[in-house]
Amino acid sequence: MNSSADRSVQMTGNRTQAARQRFDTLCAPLKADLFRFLYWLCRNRSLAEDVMQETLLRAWKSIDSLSDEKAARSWLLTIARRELARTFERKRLPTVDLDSAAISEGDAFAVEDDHDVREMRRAIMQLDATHREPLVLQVMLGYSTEEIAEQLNISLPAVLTRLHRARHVLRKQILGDGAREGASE
Amino acid sequence: MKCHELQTAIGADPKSADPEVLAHVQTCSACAEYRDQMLRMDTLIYKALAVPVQSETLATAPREAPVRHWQIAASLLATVAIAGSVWVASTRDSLAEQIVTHTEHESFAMVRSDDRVDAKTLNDILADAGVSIKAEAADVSYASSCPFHGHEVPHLVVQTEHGPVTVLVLAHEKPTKSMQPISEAGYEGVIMPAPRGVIAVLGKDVPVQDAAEKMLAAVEYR
Repeated sequence: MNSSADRSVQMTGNRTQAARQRFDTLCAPLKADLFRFLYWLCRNRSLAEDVMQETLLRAWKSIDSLSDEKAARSWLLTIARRELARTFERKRLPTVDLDSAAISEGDAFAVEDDHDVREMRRAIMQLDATHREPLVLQVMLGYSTEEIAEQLNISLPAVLTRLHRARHVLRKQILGDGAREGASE
Repeated sequence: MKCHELQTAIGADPKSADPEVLAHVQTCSACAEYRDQMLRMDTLIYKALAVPVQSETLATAPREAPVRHWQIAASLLATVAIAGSVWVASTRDSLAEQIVTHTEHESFAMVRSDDRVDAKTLNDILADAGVSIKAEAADVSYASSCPFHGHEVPHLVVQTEHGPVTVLVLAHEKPTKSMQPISEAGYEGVIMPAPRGVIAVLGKDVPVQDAAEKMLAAVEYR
């Protein structure tokens, strides 16, 4: 928190110390989740960091619009999604080679991760965004399927289908041909 | 609840506390094993998703440079210059460029493939954008809802006899008066006026005209 405060010195406007404190109290505990959410959406660490910066700036500017503090995480993730979409629209971003991305990004985490985790990370990276995002919201951020539907503005059956397909693909990737074809499409 | 229904439900949420799910796994060892396997896989998924976050990243705070008077003046001048150039530039060219950029971002999907997106998934994605597609009108190997100009739009890859093409159903765009060609970054394509908005079809070394006309005839707007 101290280092965060030190790096916040350039925030401008007529915001009071109380507003600043409110922002830090609400958003600081969410930064790790925010980064991971962005990382898994764009699959690129430095881009995730850049968009996280933009997200926090936009959140700071609109902190007064957040009336329900319990909804802070959902509010922040919504801003993050929009910021990432804006980034993709305004920049000509290089195409991500999934194999090399999985290897290079995987190497950065390799020290503390075992083989199974790396293989799963590689498999998740290859899921398409439609399936990856609800999985991240559910497994990592603990969203219910109803909350995911609300967050992504899609129907509950669509959420259930996407989650089922995501796990089906991952299971086949991890277990290979040995995956029992029990789950129907 | 039958086994395949349970496994679909477990696939969507292995921690489901639905009484029907819990009752079924009490009496079906195969489904109980399936659920255990999915729970173990979720633990692995969680570990994989929880990538380490550097302390510098956690220290990130919004930074905004102080605004000075000379910056305001410079900003006004820049605004006038940009407005002039935007006025001169064609907005259609801008749309074409954004379509190509978007397609490049998911170029991994634009490959020859025998995979087909199942009808339910495809319908769900199209329904999110308020459209549907006539049954078996296109061989869709990839379908995704993508953010574009503030809307979720269907992004499809359709297999044609000449190769794969990318189709974006842009129902929220301003319609063009006529077909607009796209030729950029190795992509050839068209932006077709549709009953609502436009449909963009792009390919690489693949004729897109036929595919575009087929898609235009196949997509139905609600």
